[in-house]
Amino acid sequence: MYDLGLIILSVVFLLASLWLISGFEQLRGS
Amino acid sequence: MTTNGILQLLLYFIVLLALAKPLGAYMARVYTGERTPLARVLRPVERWVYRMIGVDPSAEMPWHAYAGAFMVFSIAGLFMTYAFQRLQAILPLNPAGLGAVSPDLSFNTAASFATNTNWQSYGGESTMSYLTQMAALAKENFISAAAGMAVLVAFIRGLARHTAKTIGNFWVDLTRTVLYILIPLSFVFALVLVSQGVVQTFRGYQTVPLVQATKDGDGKPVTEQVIAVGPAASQIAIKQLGTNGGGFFNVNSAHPFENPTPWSNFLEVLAILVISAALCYTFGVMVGDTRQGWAILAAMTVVFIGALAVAVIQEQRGSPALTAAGADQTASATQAGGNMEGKDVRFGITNSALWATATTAASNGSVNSMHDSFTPLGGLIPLWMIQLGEVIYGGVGSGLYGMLAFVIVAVFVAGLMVGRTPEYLGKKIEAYEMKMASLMILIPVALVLVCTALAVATTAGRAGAFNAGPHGFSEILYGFSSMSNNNGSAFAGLGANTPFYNIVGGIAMLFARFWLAIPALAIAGSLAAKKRIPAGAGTLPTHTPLFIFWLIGVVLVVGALSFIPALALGPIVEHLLLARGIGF
Repeated sequence: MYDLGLIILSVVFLLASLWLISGFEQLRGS
Repeated sequence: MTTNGILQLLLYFIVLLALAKPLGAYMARVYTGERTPLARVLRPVERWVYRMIGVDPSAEMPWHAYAGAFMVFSIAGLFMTYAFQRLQAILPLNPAGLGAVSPDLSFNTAASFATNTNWQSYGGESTMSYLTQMAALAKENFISAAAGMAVLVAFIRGLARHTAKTIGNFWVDLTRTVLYILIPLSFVFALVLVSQGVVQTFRGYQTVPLVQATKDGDGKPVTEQVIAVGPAASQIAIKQLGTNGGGFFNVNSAHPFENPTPWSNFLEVLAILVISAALCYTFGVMVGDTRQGWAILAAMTVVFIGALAVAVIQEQRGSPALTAAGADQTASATQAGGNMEGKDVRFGITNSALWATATTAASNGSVNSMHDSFTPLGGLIPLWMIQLGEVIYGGVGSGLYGMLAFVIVAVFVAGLMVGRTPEYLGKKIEAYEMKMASLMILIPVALVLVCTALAVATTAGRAGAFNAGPHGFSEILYGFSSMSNNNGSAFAGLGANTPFYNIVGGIAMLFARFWLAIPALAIAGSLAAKKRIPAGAGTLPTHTPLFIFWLIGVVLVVGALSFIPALALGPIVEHLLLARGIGF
């Protein structure tokens, strides 16, 4: 269970980072 | 400072700066795709790697695709490292029979090595199997260092190109860094370390009879000792060259099997900074004006020498607490003098202070002395070097792109002050670049201060500090400064292997690494797309001594404004109290 929580935490961080990249690209284009 | 110490430091700087040009020129050839002397052997390997991973090396990426590849690759590495630790008990190459690493420590270590931090909440010889050390940790040493260098090269291309949509191919930059730079250098360096006595073996830990028998805590006789060995040299070579810093053994490069001789010490501390210093020259070559690279290297070197001088002088002056205890700390024909608590007599004051300053100027984090035992102001130097953002040489790749963020801020502020057009290397610096550069500077500052505040405000956080008062605060501040700037060194007075430090620290390391690299790549994408403006009367020259000192001023002012209040609560007040005979 602990393992699963930490894996989910890492996946959430990765998705947040990809969202940040997308946000910065939109900001550059605006 | 002794004459012997000054001569050793002079030799260090002469060799470091002499290597910057040839190594920097070689790396520029690697990144621009020019033929290198190793191409005959490595080019077929490189092509094979591209075929294996299905990459077209001629296909370039826009910045967001480059950043996405960097993120996915790095987090995949994190998962692999996590799995190796959790499963090591049932995997081979575990002669000591070590069990699975706990989930929170596995997460912390995986985040640490994926982010080139190498913060270690564990003792290597008592926690990690040979397979974990080699296939997980040493592997991450190579690829996390290479990923940082790839991001830097993409940043440089952003400055060098104009009206371009792409900044290179992440997979190509990563592969070339590992194949042409890190593996050859590490291979040669590991052999040199073995020649000096660093261990490299798959044999299990050795049980040997004690020279002098002793008794344990229960009064039972002890006649044997277990000596940890293992494949150390191969890991130590890359941990120094790649500014990783994670030791094979718990006490890192203070261990005689990691750092046995004065020569191994000299070469290991040289290896900490050599690639980062050389990358400044690589930068100059790639942007077509080597003066720009020398200017940044000069700024770094001036700050480094100033910090090093303070550390050496403070440690050579000795500790008032030791003077009060009757210890003789004056240099003489029979001893080097100074505050030798926590330092190895083989290295003395000068080489301990040099290592402490270099390892924190870079994002290395390896140690050959215990920073917790430095005098308060001597210990302030490594702490502040980390807090400056590790841009004084810095981590391989990350140090220079961090420094280039400061250059952008310096150019912009100078433009505002004297009415010049903010531009750098022919590119207009506008609101977007300033926002991204500001994020790169502010994110680690916020991480350090928020995490430290969280630790001192909670029982779980305060429980980690081994000392009370300002020294205990320094231990916590150092820990989160180290993790939040991807350094990895420890003050050595913090019990960090707890769920609180492992989880909070692990998250801080992830943000510090990736949420700085992403805005760095965003700047690269933005600058690459811009037109180049010819230099005019309103252009601020960025290779002159005036700009070098302006850049130093910006770095120091930002560092001072961000951290002097916190430092006042730790090492500064401890220094004042120690002068009155109050220690912690």
